[in-house]
Amino acid sequence: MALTTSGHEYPTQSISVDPFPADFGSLFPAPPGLIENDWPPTQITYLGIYLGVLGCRTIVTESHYIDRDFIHDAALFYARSLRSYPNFCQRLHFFSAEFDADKWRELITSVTDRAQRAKFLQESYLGFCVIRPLSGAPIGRTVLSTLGGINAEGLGRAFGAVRDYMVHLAGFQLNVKGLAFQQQDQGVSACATTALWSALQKVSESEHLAIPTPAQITEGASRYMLSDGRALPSEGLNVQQLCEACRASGLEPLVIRSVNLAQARAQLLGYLDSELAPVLAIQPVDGSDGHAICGIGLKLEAVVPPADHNLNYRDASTAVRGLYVHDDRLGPYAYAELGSWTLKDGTIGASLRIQWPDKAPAEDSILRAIIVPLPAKLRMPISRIRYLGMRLAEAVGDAFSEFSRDITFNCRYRLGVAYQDMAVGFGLSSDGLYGLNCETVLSRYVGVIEMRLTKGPLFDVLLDATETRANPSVLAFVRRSEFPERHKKSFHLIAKNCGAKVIW
Amino acid sequence: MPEESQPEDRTPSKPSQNQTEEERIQLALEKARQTVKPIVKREMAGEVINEELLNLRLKK
Repeated sequence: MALTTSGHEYPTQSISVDPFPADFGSLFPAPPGLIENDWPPTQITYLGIYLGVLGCRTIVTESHYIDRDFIHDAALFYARSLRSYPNFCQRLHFFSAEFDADKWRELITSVTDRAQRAKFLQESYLGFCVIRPLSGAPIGRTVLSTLGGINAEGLGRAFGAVRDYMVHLAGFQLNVKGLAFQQQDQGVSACATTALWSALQKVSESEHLAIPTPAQITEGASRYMLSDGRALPSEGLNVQQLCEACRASGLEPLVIRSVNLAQARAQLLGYLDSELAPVLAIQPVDGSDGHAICGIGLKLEAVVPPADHNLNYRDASTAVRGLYVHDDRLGPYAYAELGSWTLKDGTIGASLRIQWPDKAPAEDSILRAIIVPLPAKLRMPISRIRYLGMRLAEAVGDAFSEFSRDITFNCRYRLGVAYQDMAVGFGLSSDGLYGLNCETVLSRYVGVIEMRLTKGPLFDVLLDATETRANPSVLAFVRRSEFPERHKKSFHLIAKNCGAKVIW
Repeated sequence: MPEESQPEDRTPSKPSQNQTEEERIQLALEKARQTVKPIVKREMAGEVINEELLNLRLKK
């Protein structure tokens, strides 16, 4: 008798090239047994539609791909199942160029013009999707390009929270700009886990922290707090657990209660414009279980003049019409229209309307909270920066009739060094530029209140974001191109009243 | 009962003959503080977190 041995061989892989199919769902065979919901799942239908909009023509499939996130999930959960789940995945790469297996072979094997071939692949690269060996929840880490800056209605799209991902495929190094998405598997992760996982992708990288896997998020969330029995299989997280997971990953969670539409717009603009992705806690208007999604970008229209005729300023956040979210029930960059909804207590709260590809009518949910994973030294919240911004915009609009009702304020954070780098293009005097870059000590992150007119920027106010209150934490007033020379004295006086230096 | 407040002065901060530029700026800043106070108060309400919100379960 001889025992059978297995697992000693190294894996082999194949790479196949296929045209993008008319029915993307046909790539995913239905699992055996009774299917709980419709097949293919909504996420696959959504991905097919989204890739069609991006202009996908070709799919390149790697048959054996080790995914860092899935292998952690497998080690924590799936390895202990009766069924032999593999520890590897497949990976689909999407291209807008049309090519077949012969052309692919030529791209790989030709020894001349490698740079040209790399350029061909890069220029048409739309991103990738990891396919996990989980029949009910196959969509793993997926990074796709965002849609263009202007939508079909002519409105702006601003994806603040995206980053570059480096991808290795058959010896080529490709790059895609987006934010990672994945479907909840209901074993290791639920909606809140995947929403936080997406939200941490950019900020963890920029803070030089390891990006936690869904398994690590679930472990971090349930280390000290189990509000609903067992941690695995995951049955969702509450807001406190989300905060715990955030802390475990080295960041500080800021929880903002949603008050109304205007406040929600202001907060979402402030954080997304600062390249910080928030987790949004929403609850369907029928009062059923809450859900978590991750904000990635904003749909913007023109800034609206103030409805109150006594106000002398405009608020940049009035331009926010909706946002682009990673909703793990749907897919990446799903559109959510912001609106108002009358709550049970008669107050009017902020709501989100999410359109589904295979379900009508659209789903309305109340926005309950915005949770932003923040670097520890970013202490001053956007709401307090806005307080000063609003006051200064009103004062300047009131004191200078030429700016009245045109001056618009916008609040965001910037890395101090990034602001100094940007300031080179502000048209500052030589003394001003030297003063800002060599004689002004900035915090790692600065709060920036930008004041602008329709024709261009007026001035910026820089705040020390390590403080908790905006006043007295003003570091500098920085003149921008549209601030008239004749008001220089007044500019100095406003800065003096705020205890700030002037960069002119 | 708190004393009834006077209606807010909404006239633009234009320089009068005896007013210096510094006074005009200070007046505009103080007037702006009063004007934006109710708007700011509404926004700052979001900083108050309650137990119900922290326990909101996200599981859909």
